Order: sequence, then C-alpha cells, then structure tokens
Amino acid sequence: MIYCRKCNVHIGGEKSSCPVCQGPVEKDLDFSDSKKLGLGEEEVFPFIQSKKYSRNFVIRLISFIAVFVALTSLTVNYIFYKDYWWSLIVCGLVITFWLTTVVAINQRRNLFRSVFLELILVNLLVVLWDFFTGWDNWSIDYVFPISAVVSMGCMVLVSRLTHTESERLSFYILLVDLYGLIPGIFILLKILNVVYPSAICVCCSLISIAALLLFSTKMLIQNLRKKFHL
Amino acid sequence: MAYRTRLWSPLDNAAKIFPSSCQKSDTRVFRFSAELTEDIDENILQSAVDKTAIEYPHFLSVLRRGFFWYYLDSTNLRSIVSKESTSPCSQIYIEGKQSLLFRVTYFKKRINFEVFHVLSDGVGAIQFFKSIVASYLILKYPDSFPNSKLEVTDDSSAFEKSNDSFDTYYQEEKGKFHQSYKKRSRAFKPKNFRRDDDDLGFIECDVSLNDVKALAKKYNTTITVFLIAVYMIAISKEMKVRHKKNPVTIGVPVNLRKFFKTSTVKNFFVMNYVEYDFSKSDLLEDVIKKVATDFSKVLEEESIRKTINSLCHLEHRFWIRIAPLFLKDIVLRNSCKQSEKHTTSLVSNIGSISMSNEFLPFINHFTFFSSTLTFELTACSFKNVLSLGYSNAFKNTQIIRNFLSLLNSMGIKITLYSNDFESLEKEGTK
Repeated sequence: MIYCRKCNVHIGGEKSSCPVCQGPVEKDLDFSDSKKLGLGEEEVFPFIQSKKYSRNFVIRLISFIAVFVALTSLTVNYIFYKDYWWSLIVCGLVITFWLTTVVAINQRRNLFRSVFLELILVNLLVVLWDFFTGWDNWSIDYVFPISAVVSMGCMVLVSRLTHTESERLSFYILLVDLYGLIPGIFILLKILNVVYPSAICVCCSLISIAALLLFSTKMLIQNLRKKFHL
Repeated sequence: MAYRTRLWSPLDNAAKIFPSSCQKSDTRVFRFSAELTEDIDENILQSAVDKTAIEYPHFLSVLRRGFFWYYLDSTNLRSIVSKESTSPCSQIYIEGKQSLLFRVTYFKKRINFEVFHVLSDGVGAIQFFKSIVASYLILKYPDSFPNSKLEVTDDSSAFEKSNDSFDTYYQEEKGKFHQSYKKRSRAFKPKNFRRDDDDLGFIECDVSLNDVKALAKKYNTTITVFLIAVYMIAISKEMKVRHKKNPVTIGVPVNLRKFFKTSTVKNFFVMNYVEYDFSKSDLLEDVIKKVATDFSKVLEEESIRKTINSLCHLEHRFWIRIAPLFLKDIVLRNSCKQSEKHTTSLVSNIGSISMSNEFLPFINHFTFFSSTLTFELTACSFKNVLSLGYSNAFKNTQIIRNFLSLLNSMGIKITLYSNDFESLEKEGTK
C-alpha cells in the first residue's frame, strides 16, 4: 500500500502523489492497521477521462455562427451599399434561425413540449415578419392555422415513433387543440382575408377535443389533476 | 385496453427544494457504496436490483413538472446496472429527460448506489440499498443462505414506505414563521478555486470505529458531535484573523424517524445548524461543549415539532401554492443561495449500518458520499470501520488535511482512497 509520510496516512490505489497534500508517496509493505479493518490496497474509483467538449457546445457553436453571419453582412452592407439596408433582413433571418434552433436543442428531451413551444415561437416570429414587411395578413391567414394542424400531426407521429405512453401525449394534444381554437377568434374578429384554413383548423381542433373527451376521459382528468395539483 | 390509473405523488416537504436548486455543479445526488469480498457480477446485480425494486415502487418514478409543483410519476422504466463510468454523484435529474432518479453501478468489488435527493434521504435510501446488497448476496452465494429469505429491514408495506411523513405530522399552528437562515449570522466561507468540469473530488477516509468511539467517550460525547467539533476546528485553521468575526456554521441533517413513528423511505429530516465563534477559543473541549448544547436544544421533541410545522406552513400558504412553478423555481433557487451564505459546510452522519449476521462475512464495509457546492463531510459505519467521506468542489484540500492531521494527532490510523487522478490526467494530455 502507498504511504504518505507527511500526512501519515495509507492510500489505496496507484497514486503518484498524495491526494491530500500533493506530496510524494512511498511504497509501504506494512499496512496491518488497514488490513485489520479489511481495507484493501486496490483502487476503488475508476479513472474517468475529462470531457472533450464543454457544456452546450452545439448551442455555443450555433450562436457563434449567427453572430458571425450577422456582423459580416452588416459590415459588408455598410462598406459597399450604403443606400439599401438589405443586411437587416439577413439579421432577421439569423435571429429567426437561431431562436428556433436553440429552443429545439434545449427541449430535445421532451419532444412534445418541443413541438408545442416551436409552434408558439414560429407563429410569433412569422407575425413579426409579416408586420415588418408590410402586413399582408399571410401570417394569420395561412401560417397560423396550417402550423397548428401540422403540430397535431407531428405529435401523433412523434408518439408513434417513440412509443410514448398515450398519457403524456393526451395532455400536449389538448394544449395544441386549445391553441388551434385561436384562429376561430380571428374569424370572429373579422381580421382575416382568407378564412378557409382557419375554419379547417378550428374544425380539426374541435374534432380532436371531442375524441379526447370521449375516448380518454379518465386519462385526461387524471393527467390534469397531476399537472395542476396545488 | 381500458385505461389504468398510474400512481403519482406530490413531493414531500424537504424534496420540494431539490429540483429547483439542482444544477450541474450541485447535483443533489448522494451515494452509497458497499465493498464486498469478491468482484461484482453484473448479471446477478441486475437481477438483484430488479427483484428489490418491486418492493420499493417509490424508487421507480420519474420527476415531472406540473403547473404549480413538481410531482413523481410512476413509470415502467427499469434500472439498468452498468460499470461505473461517470464521476461519483454526477447529475441524475436532467429536466425533461424521462429517466429514473437513481442509478446502480459497480466497480471491482464495489456496488455503488446513487440517488437524487428528491426521492429519498440517506436513511431511506440505505434501506433500499441494503435490500439490493442482501438480495445480490443471496443470488450470488445460494449455498450460504439455504433458507433464502430476503432480508427485510422492516415489515412495512409498499404504501407505508412511500408515505409522506411531513404531511402526516404537520399541525397547523398560528403565529409568525421565519426562514431559519435569517436568524443565523453570515458564516465563514473560505474562498478557493473550483475544480474543473464541475467534477467533485472525493476522499474516503476509513478509520477504526472503536478508536473514534473511545475518543468520543474520553470527551464524554457522541461520535457525531466529536466529528463535527474536529471538523470545525479543521475549518477554523483556514480562517484569516479578519474572518474570525464570522462564525463557522455547520448544517447537520437530523433524521426524524427517531422522533416520529414512520416507515417511509421518502425524505424525513430537518436541517439543524450549529455555530461556533472562533474569536473566543479554539480548544476542542470548548467546541464540543458548544456543539453538544446546541444539539440537545434542537433535539427536544417540541422544538422539532415546531420546525416541521413552520416548514410545512410555508408550503401550505395559499399564495405560495398558486404561484406558477417557474416563479417558485426562481424563489427557491434564490433562498437556497441565501441560506448557503449562512452555512460553512455540512456534516451528515448516517450512523451505523446494520445487516443480518449471516451477511457480515461477505461485506467489507459501506461508504457514503454526497454532492456539494463547496465541501462536505459524510460518515457511516459498518462493523468496525467508520468511513468518512469528504466531497470537495475546490482544488484546495487543506481542510481535509487539517482534519486528518487532527485525527492523526489523537492517535487514529487512517487509510484513504480518492478519485483524484491528476497525475494520470496530466500524462494523458501530454
């Protein structure tokens, strides 16, 4: 067994220095005190290689690329074409891309939540794009209802692919269904130019809610009880 | 197929703080290891874990976020035994990940059992771990245990084991309650460099239980009080003169199962704090005296009942209950940080671990470690080995050095093990 003269302790394993005082160690064949207690001279902890990449490396990398692209385009724009600020569009695209990717990476462990959060995020960003490019209403006319219906499909697909229990699925489907009723409010407020996509979306949501209530009442109630317990 | 209701449970009072305050640097994981006499067989260990888990359904749950609180949801996941490949007490709970909150690994002769504190406290978890070890031994050496009955630590049912005892013993009480840390003054905190990669340094110091018992007896006190006092003096040696205006404050978890009848494996402990002002005297006798009186004051049943009531009162307040979880997360994280400023370190002693006599020849000893943000001392004893676990988030190891040299000067022989492979790592980077 290894012995540290400075600390007067016996050390298990093959160490080249004392873990307590970092001083030199020597081999000591007489370790009867440790033996008496049944303590062996073997290493008890495995050697674990330190990690190669720092935490959140991918997010850092994506963020760096985003900053790089945005700053380069702004600079090029400033030097060569001062009269038209096209680089702002590039920056907008970069922010959109960066936000959606980071949320997707952050929520990768819970795909249902990821789908739901992406839905909200994409809709918000799309409305902003529409607003800053002259408000042609395309965001709430088309993207809003279509993305809601697509998310419902995505959730069912994810649950089939990952064999998730229907219990977790039911809660998130309910959330998307409720979200899918929002285009109905747009219809009532008469702010839409094209109503068909929204009408179809509301219809799908209502059908889905009806199916949930009729076929998985117990599951839904139990799930809501858990999620909202005080 | 008709829907089957799954069991779920809200977190107990003590567990409520852990998910909010868990981070990569403070994983809130603690670990037991049992060193057997022979190398571990993975397949047998796997069947031992599977067999034992049935008896402890509470451990087979995942942590989920609700809108107001976290909750534990039962799951069909199975714990997979593997060779130890992560650093001790590394993160178990990762938000959103559907995984069990404990892990069983093995390395050479050791079975390691790591638990996220949300599930259980040390005393609850050791029950489960003892059952795993016992059933492993029975499966490994069937000839030595002819009447192979699993060691039953108590005859409680699965439901009794997952009972929330805080809730059982909470009595509504009128009056003002204060957060406990506000009563305490700011504690001495040594400033140090943190270790790389948030990996903790672990030093296991094994000493003879009888020797320490004799020493404690000499000072007319218990082992826990004796260890705390020596540890406090070890810390005080790192104090600069200007630091002595702040006391050294040690948090000691107190197991409530001693005071209230319960067979729960969930958390059932309260933190008790002992302070010592080193500007007056640093004699061991004085420190022991102060720690012992502080202890006896807190350990009166009335005072413990009050603590439970005040802790539970907080969680039963209407305004706190209806606050959304993300707000609670922020508040709890912050109050944890505040409380941290009033505590120098923690000492957690599980006490003696008992197993039926027929298992004793197959087990060398048990060890106990805990994750920490700074540094922490844990202790447990088995047969004649008192195993002290020192976990350290800093590069500096001066405090444990002081502690060991104090024990040494009292004639205690120390054998230590460590997960520090700095020299090996340096070679690897060459």
